Order: sequence, then structure tokens, then C-alpha cells
Amino acid sequence: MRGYRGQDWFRTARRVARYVAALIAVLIVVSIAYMAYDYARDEADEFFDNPIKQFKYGSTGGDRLAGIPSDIFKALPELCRDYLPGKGWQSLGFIFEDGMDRPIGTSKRHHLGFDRIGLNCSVCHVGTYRTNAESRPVVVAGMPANRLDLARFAQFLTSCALDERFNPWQVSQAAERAGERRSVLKRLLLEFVGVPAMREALILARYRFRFLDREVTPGPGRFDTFGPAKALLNWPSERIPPEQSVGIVDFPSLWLQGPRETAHMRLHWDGNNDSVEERNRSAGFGTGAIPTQADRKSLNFTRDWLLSDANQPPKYPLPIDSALADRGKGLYGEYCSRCHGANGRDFSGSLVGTVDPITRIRTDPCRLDNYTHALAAEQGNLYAAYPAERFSHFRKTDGYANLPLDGIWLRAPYLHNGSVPTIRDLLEPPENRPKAFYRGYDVVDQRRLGFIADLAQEGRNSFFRYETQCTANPAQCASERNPENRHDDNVCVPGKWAGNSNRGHDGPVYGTDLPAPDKDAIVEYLKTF
Amino acid sequence: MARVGRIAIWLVAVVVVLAAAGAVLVWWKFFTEGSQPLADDRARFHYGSLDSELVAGLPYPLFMILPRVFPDLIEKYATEGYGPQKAGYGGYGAFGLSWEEGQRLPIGLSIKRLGYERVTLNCALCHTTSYRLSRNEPPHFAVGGPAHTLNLQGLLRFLFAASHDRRFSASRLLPEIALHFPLDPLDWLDYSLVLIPATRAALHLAEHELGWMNQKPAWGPGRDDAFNLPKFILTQTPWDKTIGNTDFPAVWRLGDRSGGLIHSAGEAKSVYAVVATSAIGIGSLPVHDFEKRNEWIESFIAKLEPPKFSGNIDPASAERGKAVYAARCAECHAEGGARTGTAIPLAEVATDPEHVLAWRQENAERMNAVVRTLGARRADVQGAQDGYVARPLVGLWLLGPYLHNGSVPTLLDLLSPPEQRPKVFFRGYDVVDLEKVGFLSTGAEAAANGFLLDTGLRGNGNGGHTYGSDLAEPDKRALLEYLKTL
Repeated sequence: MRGYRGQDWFRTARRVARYVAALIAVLIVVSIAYMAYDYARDEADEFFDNPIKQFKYGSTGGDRLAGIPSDIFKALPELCRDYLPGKGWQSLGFIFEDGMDRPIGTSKRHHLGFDRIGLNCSVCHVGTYRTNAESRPVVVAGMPANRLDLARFAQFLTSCALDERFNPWQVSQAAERAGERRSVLKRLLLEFVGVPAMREALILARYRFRFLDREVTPGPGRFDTFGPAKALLNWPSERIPPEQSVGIVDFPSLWLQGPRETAHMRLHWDGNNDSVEERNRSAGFGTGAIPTQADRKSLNFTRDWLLSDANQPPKYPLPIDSALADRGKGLYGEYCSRCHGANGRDFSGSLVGTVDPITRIRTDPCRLDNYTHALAAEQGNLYAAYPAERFSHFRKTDGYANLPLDGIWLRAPYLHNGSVPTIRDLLEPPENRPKAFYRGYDVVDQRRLGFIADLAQEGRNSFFRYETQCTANPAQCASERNPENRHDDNVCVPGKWAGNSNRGHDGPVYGTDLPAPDKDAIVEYLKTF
Repeated sequence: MARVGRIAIWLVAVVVVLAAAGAVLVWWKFFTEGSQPLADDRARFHYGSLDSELVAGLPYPLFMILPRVFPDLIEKYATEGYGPQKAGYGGYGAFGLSWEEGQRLPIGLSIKRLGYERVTLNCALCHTTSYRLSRNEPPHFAVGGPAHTLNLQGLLRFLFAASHDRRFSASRLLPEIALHFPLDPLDWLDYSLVLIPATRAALHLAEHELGWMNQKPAWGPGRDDAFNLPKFILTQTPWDKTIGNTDFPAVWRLGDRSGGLIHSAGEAKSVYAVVATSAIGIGSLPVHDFEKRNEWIESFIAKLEPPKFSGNIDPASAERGKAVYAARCAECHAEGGARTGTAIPLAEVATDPEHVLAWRQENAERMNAVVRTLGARRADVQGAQDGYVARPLVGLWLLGPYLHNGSVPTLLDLLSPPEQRPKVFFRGYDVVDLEKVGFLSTGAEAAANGFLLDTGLRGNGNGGHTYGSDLAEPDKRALLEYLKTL
């Protein structure tokens, strides 16, 4: 058979097949090696040359646990546009700056094979203001995120992820339309790993966050801040008594943490902790920065910036009537300084940073009752594997903390639950304060100090109507539980408006009995803070 | 041949080296001992280890996350028998443990490293009182008082139920642990192959050993079956039908008790024996520092003081009550009283007899044999006397409910004839009843939060101890006023 041509052909074919097989094997090995390398790679976008930028776009490490693949993050607003109030992430109050492809408050990290977008501190602590409706918004780091509707963001994510449209094909198509281009390998990974994994995670998140269904709609600038802690501990929210189920508060400002730390001021609205470090780590949990995943380098960098003197609120940008402010200074010294500090930078005062008992301040007690001894105790387990970082400062208190008023002109609406739109309203007795107003607008109200709050709509943007009590006609209100949203015994009373009361912080010692010109003077002086 | 021999030598050498390395690894992973940084004596009593890690230590990371993985089981076992408002959440706090803010675990639980951090129990678990003066304040903790809120049976049942649940597997538990504890690959193996299966098996064994408690009335909060525990478990006596449900006692000023009988029915004659046997009961072996530690505990509780009564006391009335007390109570209950520290015969005191019947002399002898074999000295106990020990009254206002079985909710009820005492009431609610002295145990609030105790069940009888029930109303009130000061 020697010399038979067919056999030569066969040999050649076999040799070629061997080469091809080897080539394929090499390709497979290289691909697997690349994927393994890519899977193991953990790199976050960092801006350590610019603390404010790092604050706005740096990572807490939460993106490792809860980061959304960036392709999906880009695809979602278009994919599920009918679940959004307007166009894009902006419609939920996210702020986009020039030159960044993602909003303030998001970090980007390559982790487990994906570029992932997570939230960071600044999502709740960067806001905007405008001096008039025509001017461009000024972005202020450390200011409460007055326009961000976090609850609606959470709701949007779960609604979209559990929607039929959230399937591999439409998600990757929407990502491509939003400008994301990926290799075939990456696309397959996204379609058949990223999409199902995210859906699984959001099913869990939706169940754990069901506590939101049991309280008022937060609206922009607010959230239930200890609800997530209870969710992490897997407390069944339906078993928690209704009077302990309402914990919605305004996002606070983050300026000048140094003096707060030095003076061991009670932090959080009810003053349940006096360690800035612990408070930071606790807040970080909200972004997904759990102990084993936290990006300590980035968190420590941001902590140092928050503690530094550079972290100051901006000056009031509009004219101040200095004569009137001078008069206000005296009144402020007499009525306010003991609890709120000598001025906007000097926080001395015998009661600054202490807890004002609920029987005295008589503001809405729901948030106070929402934080319980049982929760404080269980929080002692958090960071248990890291002795130096473990939570040991949480305490149940009996009132709300007296805060310094630095940058108070940017911290509207006022009180812990944001129930009073302006400072001037806060100086009125509760019955004269607005029963309902609008949140989410960022034009400064120069006369009353705060943001303009009587505007329901501007262009296509409609604002969130905040009701402190029943505002319908008396007949309708009569059928509601606690329609006046009273809490006369200083304990939370369940009802449709629970947590939204604008009562308290009133009476002679709180200045609500002063004549109107005196109140105007105090308002003028507070502009200097 | 020489070559084969050389290979064999090499093989043996390799095996020996590997075995040695394995042994070192096992020792390091499972048996290296850590220390406990405890600030002071109080912290040592609350959180100190009795070195029972080897026998009864649960891995802390695993223990910590169980309530988060099994919230449904927490809810079921923390509320079984309670009113509708009893919190069925809050981690181990749901079982009425006293949990100080800022601590990793409640009082009475120790965390100590033996290879890995292990959770064990100590004296303070059953001997710390949690109380509130009004429902709107966080709890106070009285070290050394009876843990009247502690639902030990519920806690055990929770752990057993969890161990039978499909979720009690490495695939569910490890990701939860990994959220909080950094785990290297060796840890993953360790948990998957050793710690989780071993913990599961240990809980199954414990459940089996405690099977008898399901045949008897519930302990309820603040109680356990004090002597059936060693009888059926430590000495492996066949199960019988006795019921010894008994309130956790206070350990305040136990130094005053020397010479008298200890335990409800006089089962021990020295505080040391009580400490030593109790320590053995929770897994402490009589080796190393066993005696030294027991002596420290004995000295710590010898002079431990209860908190003073927090309500108002009418001094004039209390002064009159003092005379009534001297005439009617002091013989048995005052320090140095003629019958203080002796067992008052059943025929005379006529309180529920079940506890006495549960622990006979032969049970005591069997236990003494086991305890001596283990190597403990001065730890002998005796059979129950024919009656209950009259104790000096220390911190009386926090000792409710009263009598050895906690069958009478308040002191005022105890001063009433048995037929007028509540037949059912609610225990385990921690708001103090400043009027009747005891804890709130009747009324809507107690019913909503407390555990229903039915005095009609075996072992729960509320009869007997009728002393003082014949007093005129003003004398009774005056006596009550005085009792608040004790």
C-alpha cells in the first residue's frame, strides 16, 4: 500500500488537524488564563490627588458586594424608562458633572470580571443649590443630597430587574445603545452571568427592604437609615411593632467633622453614637461596604478629608443685611447658642452635641422609637472580626441631638425628618408651619431661608409633596387614623403620616414666641453660618 | 534490597514529616488557646470563660450569624408560649438574654479562642436580672440577680431546630459568615468539613440528651429543670416522670449563707459545691484552674449587692412593717434567724412538692461518684431535703415571681391566701411592678409580652407558704413597704 496517494493525504490531514487542535488548546488555555486573571483583578477608579473628587467618585468597597455591572447601569434607564419619573438617572435626582460618565455618588471598580458601579457616601451627601431659577445648579460636596430620591432608586432597580425586559438579550442590546461596546466573551459573561446574578441579588434586596412598605414614602433627600441595619440582621419587619417601624430622616450634612469628633458630640439625629469613625463605618454599610469588602484605603482617605478643616460649607452667595444680622446675633446668642454653638464655625455651647430629651424638644418621636436597645445591642456584633473597628459606641437615647448649624442655609428642610421647609417657618409655632409643602427644588428662598417649597412643578419636573398631616377635607380626614399626626405622649403614633410631624422645637425657649422682626433678624444672622 | 530499603526509609520519613505538619496544623487550627481581655471583676463575671470551650464551645462566627439565617426559627421559638407582642427578633436578645450595648454577645456568653473563637456559657447567663422601671426606657442589668427573662428552653430549641434545617449547611452558612469574617481557603475547608458538620452533630447529640424535657411542662422564662439536667445528662440516669422546674436564684451576698443549706431543697451544703457543680454542668472540666476559678467566683458573689429598690418607700410605714417582719418572718428569713438556712418540711410549708421529689439521695450519690471521677473535690451534693430552704431575703424586689418555682407573681400575692393568688399569670416581662412588688404579670401589657404560666400544671403549684396571709390589711401594706427595703 506504500505510496498510495490517499494515505499521504490522510497523513497531511492528520498533521494539520493536530496543529489546529494544538492551536485551539492554546486559545482555550489563553482565554481561561485571561478570564481567570480578569476575574481576580480588583481595581477601583481612584482620585487621591483630589479629595472632593475621590469623595464624589471614589469607592467604599461596597461596589464589591453590591456593584451593578456598568453596562447594566447604563442600560437600565432606557430599558425601563417607564418606571422613571423622567429621562435618565437625573430624573431620580442623581447629579452628572461634565467629563464623568456616571453620576456623583457612584464608584467604579473592576471586580469579579466586571466593571461595576456602586454607591458611595456622596450619593446622599452632595447636593445642589441655585440662587434663582435661571442660574445653573452649584454642586456642593458635604451638603445633604436634597434632590436624590433614594427609595425610588431602590424601587426602580427591583421593579426593573424583576421585569420581563430584564433578560440577557434586551439588557445587552440596551447597553450597546447606551454606548457600551464589549468583546463577545464579555458580552456572553454579562448576558449569562451578570444578568441572572443581579436579578437574584435584587430579589433578596427587595425582600429585605420590604420595611419601606410600612412607612411613609420618603421622597427626595430622605431615607430610613436604620431600616437597612435591621434588614442586614434579617429582622422580620412585619413583626416589628408599627410604632418602631418609622425611621425616615433627612440626609445630614457632612461638613466639619473634626470639631464634632474632638468634642465627642452625639452623632446621628438621635445621638445614638459619639464616634465619628464608627458612624462612618455604619453609614458605609448602607453602600454595601461590609467588613470583609470595605476599601479601607479609600474610606480612610475620605475620613481624613471629612475631618480636615478644608471640609467647610460654602459661604452664603447672596447679600446679607449686616445690620439686621447683627441684631439677630444677639438674639441667637440668647436663644440658640447654648444648644447650637456660638456661630457657624465655633461650636462651643454647654449643650452642643448632647441629646435634648424628647419630653423637652417634643419633635416627631418616630425616629427615636425606631432605634431600639435591641438594635444597639446587636450592632455590637458588626465588624466583630476586627477588634479595632468593632462597633461599641451605639447607645439607645431618649431624645434628639443638638447639632451645630454650619452651612444651615443649605440644610433645608429642617428638623430630623425635614418637616419644616424654612428656618423662618421653624421659628413659628407648629400650628403656623406649612401643613404640606414640596421637596426636591433647589432654588434658595432668601427671605425665609431654605429652599423654595411652594412650587409643585417646574417645567417637566414635578416635586414631591410632603404632608405633615392630613390635608384633605375634614370629612375625609376623619376616617384616617391620627389625621392631625399628633404625638402628645412623645411616643410614635402609627398612622398614614407617622414620622412626618412638624411639631416640637417650639415654645418660649425655642424662640417661637418672639415678635416677627426678631425672627427675621435671627434668619438673617443664620445666613452667615 | 538496599535500594528498596532506602526508598522505604524515605517514604517513612516523608510520612512522618507530613503527619507532624498535619498535627501542628490541627493543633494550631483547633486547640491554640487565646486569652480574654476583661476590664474588671464585673466584666469577668459577665463575659469570662469557665474553660468549657473543649466540651461545649460553639464557633463564634457560626453562632453569631445563626439568627440572621434562621429568623423564622427565632420568631417561632422566642415567642412560643408568650403573648402576641413578644419580640420574635433581635438575635439572641429575643430569648430574654441581657445584652449590654457595645458588647459582642449578651451577658453570660463568653468568647474565647481555642483554635478558633468559641462561645460558651457562664454563671451570669442565669444570674443577671434585666429590668425596666417603665416601658419607655432601655433595660437595666443587675449582676447576680435571677435571669427571670431568660428563655433557656426556647434558645435550646432554636439551636436544635436550626441544626435540623437544610440551611444549616456550608453552602448557606459560609457566605453569611464571609460577609463579616475574612476566611482563607483553609478556613473554608475547615468550616465545610469540620466545624459546621461537627456543630450540627453536637447539637443533635445535645437535643437527644435533652429529649426528656419535651415530655414535661415548659420551663418558661426564668426557669430550668435544675436537677433533672445533671440526673439525666451527667449521670445518664434513665428518664423518669419527675419535674423539677425551678426559678434561677439570685446569687447576691452568698457569703451570708455559709453554714446553711443552699439550693431550693438544700441539695448542697457549701457555696463552693454549688459553684463547682454548676460549672461542670455547663461543660467546665475539673482540670487546670478549675478550683482557683471557682474560688474567685465564690468570693465575687460572696459580697455581691443587689440594686436598691427604685420606687418610693414610705419610711413610716416601712418602720411599722419592720416590726411585723420581726414578728412573723424573721425567724426563717432574717440573717441569723433560728430557722434561716434550714429546710422547712413540706408538711409545714406546703408549697409545690415536685422539686423535692425529683432529686433523691441515690441521684446525689450517683452524681458525686461521677464528679469525683472527673476529679473535682469539695463538690458533693446531697438528696433533696424534705422541704424547701428558707433563705435570707436579699434584693427581694427583683426576685419575682416568688417561691422556688416562680408560681406567685408578686409579694402582695404571696401575702394573700393561696386561693386568692392568680391561677395564671404572665412572667418574663421585665417592667417592675412597684406597687405589688415583683414584675408586671397581670393586665394587658403583661399578657401581650409575657409567658403564660399556668399554676395548674405539675410543678407549677402556687399553694403553701401562707405566712402573713392572715395579717390585717394595714399590717400587710406596712410589711410590703418594709420588704421593699431588703
